[in-house]
Amino acid sequence: MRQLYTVIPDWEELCAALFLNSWSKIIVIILMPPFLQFLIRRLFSAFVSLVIITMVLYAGVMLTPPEARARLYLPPGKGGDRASEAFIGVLIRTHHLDEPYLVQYFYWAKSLLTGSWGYSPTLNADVLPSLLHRTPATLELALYSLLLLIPLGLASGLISGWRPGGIFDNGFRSLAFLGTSMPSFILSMILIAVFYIQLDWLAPGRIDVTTELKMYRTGFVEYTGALTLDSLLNGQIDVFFAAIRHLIMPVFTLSIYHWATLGRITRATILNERGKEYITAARARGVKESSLIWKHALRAILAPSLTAMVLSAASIVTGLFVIEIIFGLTGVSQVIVISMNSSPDAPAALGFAVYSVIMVLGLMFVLDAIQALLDPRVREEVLKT
Amino acid sequence: MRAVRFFFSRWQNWIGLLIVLTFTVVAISAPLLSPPDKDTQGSFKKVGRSTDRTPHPPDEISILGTVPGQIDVYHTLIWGAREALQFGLLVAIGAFVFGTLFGAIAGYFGGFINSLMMRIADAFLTFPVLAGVVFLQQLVAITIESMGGIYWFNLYYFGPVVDFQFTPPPFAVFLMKVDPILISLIIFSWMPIARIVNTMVITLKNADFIQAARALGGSPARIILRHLIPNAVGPAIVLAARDVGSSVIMQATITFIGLGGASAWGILLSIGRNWVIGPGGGLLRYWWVFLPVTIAIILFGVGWNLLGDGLLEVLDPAANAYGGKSLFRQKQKKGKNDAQPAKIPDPIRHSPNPDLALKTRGTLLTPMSNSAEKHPVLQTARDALAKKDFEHAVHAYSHLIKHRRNLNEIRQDMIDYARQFPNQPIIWNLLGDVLTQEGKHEYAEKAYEHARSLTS
Repeated sequence: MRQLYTVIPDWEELCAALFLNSWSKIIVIILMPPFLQFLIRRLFSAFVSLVIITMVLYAGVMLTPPEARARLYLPPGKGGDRASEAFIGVLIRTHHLDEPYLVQYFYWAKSLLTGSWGYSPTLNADVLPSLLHRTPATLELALYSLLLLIPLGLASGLISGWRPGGIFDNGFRSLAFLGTSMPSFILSMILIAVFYIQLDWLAPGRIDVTTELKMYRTGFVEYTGALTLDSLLNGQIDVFFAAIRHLIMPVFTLSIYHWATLGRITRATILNERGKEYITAARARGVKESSLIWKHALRAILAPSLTAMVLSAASIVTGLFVIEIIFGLTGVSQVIVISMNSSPDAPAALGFAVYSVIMVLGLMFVLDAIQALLDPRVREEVLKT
Repeated sequence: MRAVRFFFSRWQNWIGLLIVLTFTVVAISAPLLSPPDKDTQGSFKKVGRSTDRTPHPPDEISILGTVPGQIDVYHTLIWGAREALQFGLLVAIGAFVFGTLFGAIAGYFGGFINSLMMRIADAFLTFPVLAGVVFLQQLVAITIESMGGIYWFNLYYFGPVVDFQFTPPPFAVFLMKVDPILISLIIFSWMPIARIVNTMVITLKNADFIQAARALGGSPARIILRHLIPNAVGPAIVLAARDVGSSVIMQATITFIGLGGASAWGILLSIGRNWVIGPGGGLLRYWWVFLPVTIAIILFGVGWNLLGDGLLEVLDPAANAYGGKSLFRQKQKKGKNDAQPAKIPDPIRHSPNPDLALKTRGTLLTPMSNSAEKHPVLQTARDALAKKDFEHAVHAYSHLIKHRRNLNEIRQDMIDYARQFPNQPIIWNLLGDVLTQEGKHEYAEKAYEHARSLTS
C-alpha cells in the first residue's frame, strides 16, 4: 500500500482545475506519488502563467483600433492594403472585434485552443503548422546546448568554488567573465570568420547542399525532423556527421553565456555550502575529498543552481532564437525573420509570441522536473506550501 | 564616505568607472570629436561615393576606415556612443521607475493584491524579449496600415519606411517617432527590479518609522513615495546600472539580426558583415569593419556590469563578487594598530569567573584585535572608573568597544568591576557590548538582561 499523501492545502482547487469528481479525487490522492503531484502542480501554475501572459498580449492588441485588429484574421489572398473597408467591417463583426476586452479575449483564446492561429501573408501559410514543422530544429539545438551547459556549468562552478583562489578558480572566473561580457552575435561572427571562412572545419546553416542532394536521392525519410536523430534512424552516418558539423558553432555560442552564469551561481552557492557542518562531519568520518564534492556537495547545490536556470529560461530561449537567426538554422525563429522582411505580418508575430511563451514554460517545466527528480527537498517543499 | 572609500579600493570598480566615464565624455563631446557635415544622416557620415561598395582602410580622411557605402567608422563609433548611452539610460530609468513603483505598491498593499501583482511580474518573466520586440513592431505596423499608410520593414539597413499617399494623421506621425525597441526593452526588463523592491518593502512595511508615518496620517502614496521607496531602492539601482549595458547590447543584437532597432553600432556591423563572414572576407583582412565597433560594444557592456558589481558590494558587502581580494583589506593588514594576532592565552578561559569560562568553552573566539599593545584610551577609562567617574569611563570604554580595541582587556576589566560594583547596570551593559562585539550574543544578552533587572 502506498503512503497516503493528504497534506495538500489547496488540492480542492487543483482537482477542480483538473475537472475531477470526488471519487477520482480520492483515487488521485491515494495513488499519486509526490513527484507526480509536484508535476501536476507545476503544470497548473504554468497554465496560469500562460493565461496571464496571453491576456497581457491581447491587451497589447487591444491598444490598436479594431480595423487594425481585423488584420489578424485576414484570410489567404486578401492580405495587406488590398483588403477593402467593407471586408474589414465584416471581419470585425464575425470575430467580435468591437466587443469588450474580456469577450474578445475569450474568443481569441478559443481560437488558440482550437488551433486556428491565423494566416500569415508573408509565409503564405497558416501560422501554427509553419511554427510546428520548424520546431524540431530548434529543439535539437536547445537540447544539445542544455546537455552541454548544465553538467559543465555545475562541475566547473563546484570545482572552482571548492578551492576559491586556486588556479582553476582564477581560470574559471576569467573565462566566465569573458563568456558573459561577449555578446553572442559578436562571438558567432568571430567563430564563423575563423572556423568557416578561414579553416572550413565547421559550417553555419542547417545542412550543406551536397548532403541535401544526396539525402534527396537516397530517399531520406524525416521521422522526427531533427537531423541528427533522423540520420541515425535512416542509417546514414555521413549525414549525421554533417549535421553535427553544422551544430557545433551554434551550440557552443549558446552554451558559453549560460555556462558562465550557471557556473558563477554554483560557485557562489558552494562557497556558502563548503563550511556547513555536514561537510565537516563527512570529512571527519574520512570521506574522500572527491566524493565529498561529487556526492555530498553536488546534491545540496543542485536545487539553488537550477532555480537560477529556471528564472533565466526566457533569456535562454531568446538566445536560442538569436543564434538560430545568425547561423541560419531554419528553426522557429525563421517565422519572425520572414515576417519582418517586407510588409507587416501581425498574425505571425502574435502566434510566434504565444508559441515562444509556451516554449519557455516547457523549458521551465523540464528544469523543474529535473530538479524535483534529483532533490527530494524540492518536491516536498512545493507540496507543503 | 566609508562606502566611497570601499568602492575605490577595488581596481575592478576603477576600471568600470573609467570606462563609463570615458563613454560619457565621448558621448557629450561627440560634436567636437567628429563634427558632422551636410551629408551626415544621424550617426552616419559619408566620406566618398556611396556607390563604392568596398570598405577602404584607414587614411587621413577617415581615421578608422570606411564600410561599404563609404560610411566613416570613426564618426559612427563616436556618435554611436552618444546614441547608446542615451538609449541605455532611457531603458534603465524607465524600467527602474516602473519596476520600483510596481514592486512598492504591491508590497505596500500586500495580501491578495501583492500575490496577484507579483504573479503578473512572474508571467512577464516567461516572455522572451525577442518575441516582444517583433510583436510590438508588428502592432505599430498594422496600426499605421489601418490608417491608410503602407509600411515596409527593413527596406534598406536603416529601419522601417512608411509611405503615406496623403498627409499622415498626427497619431501615425507619433507612432513613427516612437522607438518600439526602447518600449519593449522597458516592458521586459522591469520585473527583477519589481521583485527585489517588493521583498524590501515587505520587510520594511512594519518598521517603526512607517508605522509612525501612518499614525501621523500619511496617505499611502506619500508613505510609498517618501518613506518606503527611498529605503528600498538600493539593490534596484544595481540592477538598473546593469540594464544600461545589457539593453544596449540587446539593441545592437536585434539590429544586427535584422529585426528592427536603430543601434548605429549594430547597423554598421550588419553593413560590414559580408566583408568579415562572407566569401573572401576575413577578420584580419578587413579588421576596421569589425574590430572598433565590436570593442566599443563589449567595453560598454563590461563597464556598466563592473560598475553594477561595485555598487552591489558597497550596498551589500556580503555579496562578494570577486572572491575577497581587496586593496583596502590588504592595506588594513599592514596598518600599525593591527599587528599580527598575538598569541596570548585567552583571558576568558582563565577569567576569575569560572561560569563564564565554562560557558564559552568550545566557541570560537575571534576578537578583531588581539593586539598586546594597549590603546591610550584604555588607561583613561581605567583611571576614570577608579575615580568612580562613570560618565567618562563609559564614554571611553564605549569608544574602545566600538572600534574593537583591546577587547580582551576590557572584558576582564568589566568582569572585575562587576564583582566590585555588582549593582551598577552600566558595567553590565558595557560587558554586554563587549560580548556583542566578540560575537557571543547569548552571553551578551544575559549581561543586558542583568542590567535591565538592576534598573527596574
